[in-house]
Amino acid sequence: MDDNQIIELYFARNEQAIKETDAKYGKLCFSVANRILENNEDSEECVNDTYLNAWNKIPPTRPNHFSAFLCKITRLISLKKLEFSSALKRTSAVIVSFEELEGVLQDQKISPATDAEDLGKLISAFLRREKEDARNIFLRKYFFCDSVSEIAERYRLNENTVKSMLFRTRNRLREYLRKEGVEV
Amino acid sequence: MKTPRMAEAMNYIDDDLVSGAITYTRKKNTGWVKWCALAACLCLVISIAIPVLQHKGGHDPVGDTAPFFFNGCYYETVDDPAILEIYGLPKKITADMAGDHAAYIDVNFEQGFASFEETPIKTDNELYVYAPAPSRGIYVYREGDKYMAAIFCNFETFGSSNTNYELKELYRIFNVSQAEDIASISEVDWHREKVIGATVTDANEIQEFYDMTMVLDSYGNDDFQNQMFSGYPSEEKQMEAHTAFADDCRKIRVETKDGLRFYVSLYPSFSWMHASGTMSYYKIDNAMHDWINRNLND
Repeated sequence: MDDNQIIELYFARNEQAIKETDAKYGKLCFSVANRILENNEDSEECVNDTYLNAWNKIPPTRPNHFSAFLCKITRLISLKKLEFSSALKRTSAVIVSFEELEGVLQDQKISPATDAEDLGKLISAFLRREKEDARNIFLRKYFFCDSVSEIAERYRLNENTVKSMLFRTRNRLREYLRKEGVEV
Repeated sequence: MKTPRMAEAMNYIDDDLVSGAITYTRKKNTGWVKWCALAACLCLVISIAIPVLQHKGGHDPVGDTAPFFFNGCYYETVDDPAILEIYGLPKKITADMAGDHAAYIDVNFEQGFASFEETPIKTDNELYVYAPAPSRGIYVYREGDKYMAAIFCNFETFGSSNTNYELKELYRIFNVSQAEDIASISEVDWHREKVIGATVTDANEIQEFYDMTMVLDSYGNDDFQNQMFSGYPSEEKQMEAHTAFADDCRKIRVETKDGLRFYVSLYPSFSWMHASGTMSYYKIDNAMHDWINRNLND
C-alpha cells in the first residue's frame, strides 16, 4: 500500500494503519532496533512502541517521508532503552558507530550552545554537499549502525573501500563542524 | 550509559536523507554523464542546503512538521515551499505577512520529542494572524527571526475515536460562509501537487457542491468502521476491504477566493467522503454522484 494511503488510515483512526505499517515497514523497524539492541524480544517491543508512537503522532503530524519518520522513532526508542536498561549491553555495532562518531567531535569539545538538533541540521547540511555514495554509506553506518561488511555487500564495494570512504567523510565532517564554530 | 552527542544528533538528520539511504542503490559509472549529473545535483543541493543551514528552529526530530494545539484545533508549522504551495501559500513566509498577535507558544523538549503549547507568558515563538487572508486555517508562526506558516490540521477529538464534525465547520475554518467564497474545486493527485482533470469554476456548479456538502451527515470513525468494515468472515477479507477502500480515494482541492486551499477525499465506489480536517466521514448521495460525474469524470 502507498505511504499516503497508510497515512490516510492513521488520519481516519483506522487500526488497519498499524497492520499496513507492520506489513510494509515492520522488518525495517525491527532491523533498526535489533542493530542497536541485539535482542529480539526488546527489539519487538521497540517496534510496537514505534507503532504506538506513530499512532499518537499522526494526526496531526503528516510525515512526508514515512519510512524515515518510523526509523527515527525506532532509533530514538532503542537508544533510550539502551541508555536506561542496565541489563542491556552495547552491541558491537553500536560501540563501533558511537566511538567513530565521538572521534569526529567529543562531547566536551562541542560548544554547549549547540544542541543535538543544531548539530543534526549541520550534519544534514554537510551530507547534502557530499557525493551520493559517501552520504549514504555514512548514514548506513551512523544512523542505521550497519557493519562495514553489510555496507560493502549492500553497495557492492569491498570492505576497505567502505572503511576508507567513511574515514574521509568523518575527516571532512570534522573540518566542516570546526568551520561552523561547533568546536570549543 | 550515555549516548554521545554526535550519535544523538544523528536522530535529527533530515528525513529525506534518511529515506534516501533506505532506498539508495549505487549506479554504474557512466563517465561524463555522471559528472554532468553531479553538477546539476550540486545546484539543487545548494538550493536545499541554504534554507537548512538557516534553520535554527526547535522542531520535532521525528516529524517533518511539529504540531501544536491552539484554539480548539491542531496546527503544524511549515516552511517547505512545496508544502506551502499545496495550501495556496507563497513559497516563503515573511515578516510582512504577520498580522495581529494571536498567541505566544511555549516549546518543550522531552525525551527527544518536542511539544508546543500556548502560553500567556511572552516567548520568542509567536503566532500571528496571516495578514493576506485572515482565517483560522492559516497563521504565521515566528520562531526568533524565522517566519513559517502554521497550517490547520484537524479539530480537537476530545480523546474519542468517534468525534465528528460537519463539513461546514471545516468551511468556517477557511472563511467559507457562502458558495461565492469558493473560487474553484479540482481533483488533484495523491501528493496534492498537481491538478488532474478539470477545474470547476462555474458558479452554479460550485453553489450546488456547497449546498450539498453543507448538509451532509457526519460520521465519527467508530460509526464509519461499523458501517463499512464489520461483518467480514475473516481478518484477511476485512484487510482486503480496507485496501479496496483506500485504493478508491480521490483527492479534491477546494480553493477559496482568498487563494487558500483545503482538501477532502472522495471514495465514490463506496459513496463516502472524508475530510482529514474534521476527521469525519460523510455519506454521499445520488445528487453528489451526479455532480462528480458531471464535473470530475471525463
